[in-house]
Amino acid sequence: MESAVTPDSPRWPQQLAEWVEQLAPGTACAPGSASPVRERAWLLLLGALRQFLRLHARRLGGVADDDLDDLAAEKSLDLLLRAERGDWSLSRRRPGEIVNYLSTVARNGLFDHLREQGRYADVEVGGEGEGHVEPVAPETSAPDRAVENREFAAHLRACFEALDARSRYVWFLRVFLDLASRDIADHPRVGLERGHVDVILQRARGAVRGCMETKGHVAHDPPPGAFVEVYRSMRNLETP
Amino acid sequence: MNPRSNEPPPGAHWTEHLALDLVQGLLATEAEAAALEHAGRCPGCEQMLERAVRDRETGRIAQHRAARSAAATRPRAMAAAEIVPLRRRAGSRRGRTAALVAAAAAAIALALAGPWRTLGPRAEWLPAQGVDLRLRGAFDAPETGRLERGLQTYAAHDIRGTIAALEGLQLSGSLEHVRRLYLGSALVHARRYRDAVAILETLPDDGLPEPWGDEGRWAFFVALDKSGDRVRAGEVLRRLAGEPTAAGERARAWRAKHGAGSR
Repeated sequence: MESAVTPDSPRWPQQLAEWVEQLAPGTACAPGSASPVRERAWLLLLGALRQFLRLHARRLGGVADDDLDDLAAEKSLDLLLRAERGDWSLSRRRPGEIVNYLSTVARNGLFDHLREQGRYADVEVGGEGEGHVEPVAPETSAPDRAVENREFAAHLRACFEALDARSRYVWFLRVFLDLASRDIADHPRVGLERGHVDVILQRARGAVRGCMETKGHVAHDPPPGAFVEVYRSMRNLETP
Repeated sequence: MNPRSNEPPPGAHWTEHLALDLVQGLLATEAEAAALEHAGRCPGCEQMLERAVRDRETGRIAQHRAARSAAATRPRAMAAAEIVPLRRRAGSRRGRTAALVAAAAAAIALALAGPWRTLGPRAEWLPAQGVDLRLRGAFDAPETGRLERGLQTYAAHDIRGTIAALEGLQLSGSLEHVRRLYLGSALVHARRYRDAVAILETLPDDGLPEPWGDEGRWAFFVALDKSGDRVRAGEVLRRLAGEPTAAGERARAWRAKHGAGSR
């Protein structure tokens, strides 16, 4: 357990604790009303639980992504409801405790799911804490290839930025995140019919392809570094 | 909190904590720039960022759908919640307060239950009471006693108990159909979708009275959709949408929202 925020400790647990306190009964954030705090708290909880679920599922194996999504949604909503009823509080909890707590929630949820499937008759629960470092692939090594990749990424970003804002979202959500047109249509920054998304996507793909060809690149899967470069540009779109 | 406290040392590999901090906008500008600089040279770190961004964006989509769905249904839910206590205590202050509390509770339930529901078709619980009554008197053999136990555990939403009682049991005639229906539904709730498909697809088309027949078809649709068999799921949904039952209404609503296919 950590005793305080250290240079290596994550910031999200403390942010989550602040938001959860704002959701407690008797606070300004009235239950049932539209609340940016509730929305942000849910997104953060969902993101954290998905990460922990993936981590535990990777060790146990054989759990479908859909099931992990369902479990994360179920657990995050349950926690949020408890926070709004005043049954779940993170005040005076240290970041490490919050991390361990959510990791345990995710692991227990996963074990329950596996037991229901009959895969684990009796699973040891508890013990191990956060240990939350992902195995990392080696950095891109060959210097000439790295230079090529950086150039490709920079050109891709330039072509991406030539699209209008909505087309950028549609293209990014499909090309990099592989989301279905129906899901993209329901993204709050897109808000279109599915058919319209397909039209925009087709045009955006054509525009990016043409732009990249003028810069001497043929169409292929984005190399390492391209996602980060385009994400940087997306961050500028995101800034409230 | 010190906004620079999470600044990674130059060249440090990412943790998923850092990815979450970054996509939630919790890092200082310099820390974020340094982290992205590193991720641009580290494919493993870049993948972590990609997953965290995907989590955030799919969460936003679910949230947006829920908000729209709540906005469409909340006035009706609130009105319904208000009517009961107001009729009971017309004009009284206490009744009015109770009505508002009930309305707020309904709104919370809608706002919070929404995002989860929108992630895919949801399994519904079959009615358990009616079956219990219809079958009373038939539970005299050990096998039918297990069926009764299974239905009781199902009524208590005890998924594991239901599966333990009904799996591996062999009955005959309509009792076997009941067993498969409830076992299939329990398997859907347990997210054992492929097993649920294997059981539910053996049910005869006209082997069960309503509402069990159509609720069984809804469970079959959910199991097919969640196990990735979208073509068959779409077929089941289309047929179900033509039925004048609660499950049929659910199927029509699903098709209206998500199109003719399952997803």
